[in-house]
Amino acid sequence: MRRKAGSLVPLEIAICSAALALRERGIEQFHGYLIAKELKDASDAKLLTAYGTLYRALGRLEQMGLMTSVWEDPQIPADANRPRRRLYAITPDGQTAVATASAAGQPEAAPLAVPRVSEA
Amino acid sequence: MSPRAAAGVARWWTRLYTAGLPVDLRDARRAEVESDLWESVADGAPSRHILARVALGLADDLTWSLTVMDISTRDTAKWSVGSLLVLLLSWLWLSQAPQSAVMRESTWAVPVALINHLVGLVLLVGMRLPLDLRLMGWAFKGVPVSQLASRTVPLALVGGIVTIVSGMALYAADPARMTSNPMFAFKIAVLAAALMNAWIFHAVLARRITDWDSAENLPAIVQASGYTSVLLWITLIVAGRLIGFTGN
Repeated sequence: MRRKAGSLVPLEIAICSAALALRERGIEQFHGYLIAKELKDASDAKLLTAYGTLYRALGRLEQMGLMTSVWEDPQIPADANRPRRRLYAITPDGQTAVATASAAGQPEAAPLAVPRVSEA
Repeated sequence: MSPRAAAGVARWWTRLYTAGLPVDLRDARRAEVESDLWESVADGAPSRHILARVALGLADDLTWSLTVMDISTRDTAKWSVGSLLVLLLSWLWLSQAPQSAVMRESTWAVPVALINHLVGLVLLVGMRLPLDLRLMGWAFKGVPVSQLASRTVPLALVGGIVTIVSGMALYAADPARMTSNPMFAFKIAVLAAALMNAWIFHAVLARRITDWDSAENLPAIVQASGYTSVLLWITLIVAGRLIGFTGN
C-alpha cells in the first residue's frame, strides 16, 4: 500500500510516542522488548506487538530518520550473561513527527506518559 | 510447551526467513530477535504469548525478507530450493490416510480451504499482473521495474503461500482422485513452470536490472518473461477450474 510521503502509520506513531514516554522517565535508549512492553501497557493490549511487525516498523522509522540505533558494547551483555541488545533512541525529527501527527489528528496509540513499566 | 521451547520455535522461524538475506541484515535481525526472546523468557512470558508474537508477525517477516533480499546471492537459491522441498514433504505427509480423513470428515475444512485457495489465487495473480504488464510493455512504462516489483511481489508471495497451503489441504481431502485426474497433473506442471519462470526472472534476469530498470522498452528476454508469466497463470486458472469436470 502506498502511503503519503512523510505520513506515519498508527504503529509508527505509537512507537515514537512510547519512546517519548520512556524518555520522560529518564530512559533515553530502549531495546525491542522494552518498547513492545511499553506499547502493550499503553494500549492495554493482551499481547506484545509481533516480532516481525515490531522490528519491521523500527527499521522503517530508522530509515525515515525518526529513530537511531546502536548495538550496545559487547562487554555489557558478556558481563550480564545475556544476548547483546540493539538500542534505539528517538531523534528530534521523530519527536516532531509525533507532534505533527497529533496536530493532524492521527491516532496516538501510546500516551506520552505511562509510568508503569520498568526496564526488563 | 515451555517458554524456552516456544523461544526455540521463534528462533527456528527467524533462521528460516532470514536464511537467504545479506549477512549484515540476517545477523542483525537474528540477534535482535534473540535478545527479545531472552528478555521475554527472563520476564516470565508464557509460551502462548511468544508463539502468538511469531504467528502474528509471519506476514511482516516474509514481506520484509523479500524486500531486503539480495536475489543474486547463492543463499537465496538454496533458500528457495529448501522451501520447495519443505512444501513437497508437507504435501506427501498431508496425503497420508489420517490427515486425509480429517479433511474429509470435517464439515468446514474443504469449503474453508476452497475459499482460501480462491482468495489466495486472486491475490497472487492480481499482484503479479501489474509487474507482468510492465515487463510486456503494456502498462506502467514510467515506473521503474524494481519499484513496481518491491510493491507487488511481497503481496503476490503471500497470495502464493495461501494458495499453495490451501491447495495442499484440498489435495489431502481426496489424494487418490486428484492423482488420477490428468487435469490436476497438468495444473501442477503449469504451476511448476510458472514458479520456475518467476524464479528465473528474479534470480537471473534481475541481476542486470540496473541496465533496464527505468527503460520504457525492456530487453526481449525480459518481455518474454512477462508474456510467459501471463500465459502460464491464465492456463493455471483454467486448468484449476477444469479439474472439477475431468477425471473420475
